Amino acid sequence: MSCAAWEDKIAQYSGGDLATEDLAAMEAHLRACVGCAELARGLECDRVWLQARPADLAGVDFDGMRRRLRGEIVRRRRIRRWVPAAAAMAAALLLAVAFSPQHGKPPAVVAPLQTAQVRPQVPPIRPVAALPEPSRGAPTASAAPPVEMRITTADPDVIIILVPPTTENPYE
Amino acid sequence: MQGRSDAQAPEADLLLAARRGDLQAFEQLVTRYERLVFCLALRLTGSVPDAQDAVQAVFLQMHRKLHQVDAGRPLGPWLYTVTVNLCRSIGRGQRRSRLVQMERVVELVTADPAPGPERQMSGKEQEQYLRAGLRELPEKERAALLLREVQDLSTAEVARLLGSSEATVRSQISSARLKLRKFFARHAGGHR
Repeated sequence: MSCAAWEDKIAQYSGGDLATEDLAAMEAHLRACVGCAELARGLECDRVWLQARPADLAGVDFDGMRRRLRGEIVRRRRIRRWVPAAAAMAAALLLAVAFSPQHGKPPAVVAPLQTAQVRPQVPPIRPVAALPEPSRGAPTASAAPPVEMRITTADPDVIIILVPPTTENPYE
Repeated sequence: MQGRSDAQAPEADLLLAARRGDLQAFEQLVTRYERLVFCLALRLTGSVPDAQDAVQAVFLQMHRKLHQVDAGRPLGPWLYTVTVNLCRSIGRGQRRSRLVQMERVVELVTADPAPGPERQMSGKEQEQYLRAGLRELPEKERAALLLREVQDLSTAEVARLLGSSEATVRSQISSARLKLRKFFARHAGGHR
């Protein structure tokens, strides 16, 4: 086991960060304490391993990264060029409106709209014959034959015919 | 700089040309630093797609702030600072999904039928193992450790980049080293 009080200084010692005045005491302690000496060796081993371990760059597309970067820079440049131009145009438009001769004058009087009265062109539907009074009860043999009702419309080709229901089947 | 094929043009010249709108000069700077930025972003985020997004965002920010970058100083430290900050915001947005991924990686490493100090891991396993270990560290400690150990910066430089005091950074780095050691000791007996 290492001595907890020495751990922090051992970590500094292994990285070469320990103050010069503490070096002698540290080395004396490491000679005397097996646990701390082991910790110091482990820290040194980690440090060397960490420094020697290259980052895995296999499969990293640096060309693609550069291409994307260039595209983004070009895009931003375009935006930077357009923003002042658009701002200048907006400012010019505002100035033109502000200093136009019409600016600040009341609007001209406009004659009120005249509305036209449109009469419907479609003639009203008129019945050709009145419907008979509906008979109540069972039909008799002497009952009047059913009456058709014809309704003419505005279109001479269209005539609505109302046929009252009969008990006989017209298709037999 | 337009039309020049000099890949070793001084960084300051490239930076000044890029400021004048020379896209080729800007791309030369990108080519010089993209791998360094990617490696740092990969270690910070632990994911290739996140690291790729970070690289793109870092260089877009660099392009936007070309006039703020000091041409008299090396560009690397400035890029590292931007990378650390962007990876932090990426990490905040995707912490939940990454925690699930980390559990899977730890399961993969610990599920080995014969774990032990003599165990030999493949390169891919080692990579996953390291990513899992780094993910266990708090963001600030991870960034400080990586800048110190992987990017090989001094403690003073790391402190300057992260906007902290040297004492704070020294403490963060030693804490990160100890946590990583405990992780390696706990899972599969080490990284050898």
